[in-house]
Amino acid sequence: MSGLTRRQVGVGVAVGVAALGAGAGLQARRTRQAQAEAAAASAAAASAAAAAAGPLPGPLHALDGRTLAAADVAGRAVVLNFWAPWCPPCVREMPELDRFSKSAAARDTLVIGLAIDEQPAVEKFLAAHPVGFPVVVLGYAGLSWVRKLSQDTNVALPFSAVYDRAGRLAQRKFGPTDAAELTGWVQHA
Amino acid sequence: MDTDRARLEVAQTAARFIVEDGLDYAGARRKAMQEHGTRDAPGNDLIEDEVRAHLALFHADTQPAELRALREAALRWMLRLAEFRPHVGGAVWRGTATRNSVIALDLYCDDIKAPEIALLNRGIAYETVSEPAGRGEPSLTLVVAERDRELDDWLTIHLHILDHDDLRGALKPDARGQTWRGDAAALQRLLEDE
Repeated sequence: MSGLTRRQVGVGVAVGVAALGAGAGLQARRTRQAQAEAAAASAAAASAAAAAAGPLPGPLHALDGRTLAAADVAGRAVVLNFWAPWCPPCVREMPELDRFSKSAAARDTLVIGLAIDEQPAVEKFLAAHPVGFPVVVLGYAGLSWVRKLSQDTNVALPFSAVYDRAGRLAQRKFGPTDAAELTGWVQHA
Repeated sequence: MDTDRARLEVAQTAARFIVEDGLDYAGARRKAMQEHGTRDAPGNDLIEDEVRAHLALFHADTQPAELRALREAALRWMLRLAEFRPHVGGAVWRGTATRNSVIALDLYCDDIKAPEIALLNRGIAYETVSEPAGRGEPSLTLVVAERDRELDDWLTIHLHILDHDDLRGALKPDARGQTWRGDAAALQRLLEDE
């Protein structure tokens, strides 16, 4: 199970998030009624955790060797973009994110790409389509984080979450975004 | 020969047809009963036990990785089609899949044309299979083929189009308390628990 080991090492943070989501998810299967109740419960837990933790539940290890920690996001707006190389709308949106991250509007904004796939596939994609912002490999376990942030049990990609300079969740969106929309979001963040 | 013994032997033969030839449970059972010249039909739970035994005996070195690759592919399709509340069933969900298994996804929608429109909009080629169900309304299945980079092989994905109301009974467990299908969150947990 070298794949699992790699994931666990790479995503210490996301595993913790996964554990958080799993308890609520277990009940969610029973009935629609229970599903709605569980979603509400996990939403409450998630927003409490999000308020306490800000954009980063813990340090993240980007593919370029950088470690992203609380000091990197303090006083800055943060765009978390969950994507995958196998997701065509995500792939189409990458140049927009890259363009935004290099623009004047993003001067005090940190864009973080969070990849829902395994490391070789992500590295292969980025070798062909490099981006200037840090990318962290979460593996499929990262979906628990998307569920937590979106407060939805049934999630899709891409998913973006924007945090304001005080570390509060300001915007969330399923589906592709673009440089203009991101600029608007961080101006108000 | 007593009935239990005959059923077990039919189940073993059916399991071989399912794993080696990719037959479905009903087809494999029918063919195995013919081969044994018996009218003693084993139930699906007995056949599934024999499928697991057959996999453990003959495919223990390859099946876990193939199952994992199919589960990951299923999860990717479930995320792509998230608006239809997809659930995965069959061998991929139950854990008996090999590279020859079909990825069976149930899509729940108000408008049965919506999944086809979604595939067309995303430029995904599919074929339509419509067959009369045992009782009630005819079923509609969309079939998609995909090259899997991990297995370096073609995967077949069956998208069963179901009415939104069908979701109500979809998660009922079998006689042993196991479910027949699960949503993306549940599939992700299986992948993490391996």
